[in-house]
Amino acid sequence: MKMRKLRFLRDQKRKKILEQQSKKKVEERSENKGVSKNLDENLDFLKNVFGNSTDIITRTFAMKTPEHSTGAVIYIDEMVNKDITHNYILRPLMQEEIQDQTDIWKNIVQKLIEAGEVKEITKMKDVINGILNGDTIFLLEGTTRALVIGTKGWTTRSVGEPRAESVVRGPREGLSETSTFSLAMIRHRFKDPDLRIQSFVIGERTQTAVSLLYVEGLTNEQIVETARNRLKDIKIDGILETGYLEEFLQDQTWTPFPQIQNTERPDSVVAHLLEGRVAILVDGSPHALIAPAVFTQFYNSPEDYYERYLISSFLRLIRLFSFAIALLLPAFYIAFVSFHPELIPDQLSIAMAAGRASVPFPSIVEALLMEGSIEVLREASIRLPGPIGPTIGIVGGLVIGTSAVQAGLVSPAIVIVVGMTTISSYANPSYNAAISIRLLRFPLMIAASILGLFGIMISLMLMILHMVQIRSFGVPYMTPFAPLRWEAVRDAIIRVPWKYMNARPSFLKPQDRYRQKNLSSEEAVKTGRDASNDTK
Amino acid sequence: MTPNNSSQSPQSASSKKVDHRGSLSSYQIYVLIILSIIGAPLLNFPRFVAAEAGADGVWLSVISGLLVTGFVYMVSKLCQRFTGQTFVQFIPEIFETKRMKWIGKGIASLIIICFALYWMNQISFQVRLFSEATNTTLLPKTPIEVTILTLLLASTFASYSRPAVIGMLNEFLFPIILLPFLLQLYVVFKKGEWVHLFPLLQSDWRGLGKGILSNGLGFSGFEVLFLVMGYSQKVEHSAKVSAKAILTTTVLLSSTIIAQYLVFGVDALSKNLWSALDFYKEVRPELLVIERIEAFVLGIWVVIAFIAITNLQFVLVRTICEAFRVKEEQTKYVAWALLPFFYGGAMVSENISDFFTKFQEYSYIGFVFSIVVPIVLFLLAIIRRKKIPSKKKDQKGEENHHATSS
Repeated sequence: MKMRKLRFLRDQKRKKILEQQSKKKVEERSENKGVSKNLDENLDFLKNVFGNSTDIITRTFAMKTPEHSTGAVIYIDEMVNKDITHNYILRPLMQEEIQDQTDIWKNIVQKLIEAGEVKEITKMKDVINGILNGDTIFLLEGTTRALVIGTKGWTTRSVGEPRAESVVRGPREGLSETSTFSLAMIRHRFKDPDLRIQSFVIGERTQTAVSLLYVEGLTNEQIVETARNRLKDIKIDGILETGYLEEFLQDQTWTPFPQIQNTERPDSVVAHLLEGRVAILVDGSPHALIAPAVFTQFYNSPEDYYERYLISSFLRLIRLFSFAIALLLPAFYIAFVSFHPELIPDQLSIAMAAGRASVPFPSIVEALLMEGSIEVLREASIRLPGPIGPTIGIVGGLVIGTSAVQAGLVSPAIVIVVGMTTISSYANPSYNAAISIRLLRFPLMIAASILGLFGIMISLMLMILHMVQIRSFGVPYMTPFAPLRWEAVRDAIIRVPWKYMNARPSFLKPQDRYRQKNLSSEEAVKTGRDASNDTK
Repeated sequence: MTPNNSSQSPQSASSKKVDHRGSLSSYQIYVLIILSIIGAPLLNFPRFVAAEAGADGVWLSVISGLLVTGFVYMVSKLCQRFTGQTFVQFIPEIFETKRMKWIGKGIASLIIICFALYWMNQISFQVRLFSEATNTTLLPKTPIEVTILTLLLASTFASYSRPAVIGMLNEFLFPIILLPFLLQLYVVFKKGEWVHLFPLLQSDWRGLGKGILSNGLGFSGFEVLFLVMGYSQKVEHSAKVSAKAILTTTVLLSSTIIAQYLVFGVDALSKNLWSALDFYKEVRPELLVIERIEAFVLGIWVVIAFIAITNLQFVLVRTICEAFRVKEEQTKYVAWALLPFFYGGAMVSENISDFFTKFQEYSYIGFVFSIVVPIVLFLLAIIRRKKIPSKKKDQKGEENHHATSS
């Protein structure tokens, strides 16, 4: 007992010391300290802040000025483009001669530094941020100013195909982990000066750059303001992925349904910006967050807009069918087998009963067993190295299914049901929405095992009730069906031809409502301009 | 509609005084009225009409519908006079005098209590009726108590949602409930016979009156508009909207009655307790995976019963909350506190036949009450020139933004 108390006190003390140290560091970094005239003092300060980290390179040198002024260049190894740092900053600073002693600083900025992005700063906090962001800092003895020279150039992954959102027809580019590259990809597709990019730094320690994208004069200002406020309100030590932000930005926490969409595709980001949504990019993540998001959005693929409308509409209906299968099929199986065998045709009913004759478990156990195994397999196949993963998934499913049937643990019908459910859940273009359906399948199965079809229907009602309660950035989640918005319905379950999708989704309240400006009045009425009068 | 701002989370909305005015769009009110009327009673309503009105029930259903439409139009006009107010708020104003305000409150309390009791009766009746149908068709081995409690728990959970949510729930489910009505066309084309409708005009004047009244009973549930009109975004459209809703309901009810007359004939229909389910049993679509279509229809009927019961509970809960000025966050306690009463009402009689007879008597009384009282209120409001002028700005409730307006 005494030992435990001592250990507890020791831990408390250690925790307190660590807290104090960490607080001190943060204070040091955030204090309003200016750049000193004394170069050594500045370098000592930086050394103290970075704690002698070996990746911080400090190069002190004497310049060719009449007074041989001392200068220093500081950067982080491997975060800068060394070619620029060495050839266009260090070399001219050390080799070029400055005759005019009166204004050395002006000469350095205007003549010596050969880099494009140069910013003058006076605060040590900015010096630190510059170093951490991969810029090169130039400090000069006898001046209270410093230069931040843009030399970001760490090794990045080359632009690749988005893995989770591959399409047959459409661009093959995916967003990059480096947000500046991602922004460039978006700019490349969206050559409108009204595209606004507002930057935030989130994460007390990670100092992650977050960009909010919207189109001025198109996106509803309240949506932008909401996004801005919510981003500003985030107080956390670090942001490593968009997932961190998503949970801070969403309206409702206690729900399995995603309320913010994420995408890896720059074309998808642009499409959503054009509809009147906002996008959020996080440095270090190849995903963009799209808000507000409504339920139907998660069942639409970017490809829907690239293929012809008939094909897209057909594919959307297939996805809707897959959604129903993925959510309901195991529950219906349990309900039919346990409660309503008379509902299915006699021959099928007899065949199913024969298959289940040797199974010792009730249908719910059988279904949970198979569904559980498939979920484990699915998770395992993702973690396994590249080529083995899918093989294990398929082989595992087949082998386990067949063996389980042969061993008399499950009936052949449940293997078909689980197989169809799994395949259907993959038809969903959005990974996070597919997971929520996988999750909801289990309560439905339990409801079916207790009250059959009645239980399923009651559970569905409660699910729908929950869904109509959700909002994303204030927009009801089940829009355009509840509340009904006819002009948006034409791009929900099916997709009408582009010609008839003139109005942007009205539930987003875009400031610029129409996409096609040169329509005659008669055409405009046909294609959704009349939607403004539609009070439904 | 303007998207909400960051602070407008549902949680934060409930913690302060919420103004629900302007929560419901015209379309949502339209759907809400229809779905409050078409509930579980439709499962055996055609049988009731056949038993009460005989062969003339077919065309009397249309006449009743038209009469109720006119009546509801008048009720909506009454509600229009009190923009943004529910009946809980405007009934006292109609009766009160400058000197004796307590008279208004006293009479209003009496009327509200009567309406509350009528709705409680309706809820218990619907829950029992639907549970009986479910147990007969889908869950023969499950105790009726389990079905009743499950339905009540689900509807109670939904009933204390905000008006905007109830509006959206109705709106979302409306297309689904139309499926059985479309399916009945298929049954009629396969099994219907014209001769079953004839001979018509067999009743005397008394019989006609009884037929109209019994048909009118199918429209009970329209009283929800007393409350929901107070949440309307566009009160100036409410009379038209409610009249359209009743006309749509007339089409749905009458088509059901006519379809069942066509398939069974009046004699067979009047003796069939679950006529709606037997109606779908008449056909067995060989091509479908589901062999017994009536079970599938009953599956959809869960939606119809659930939403009708939820609507009635919602109206009842909101009425009580408004009458007693209950805070928004305490609405759920009111809803849960009422559950035992509904359950008790649904289980009041073991014998289903006794139960139906008893509740139908109450329903008659309640229906006549819900016809007479609004007429009196309307006349008094005109005579006493009681009116609250429409203020368009006031209509913009906090929630309607996202919920409904375009």
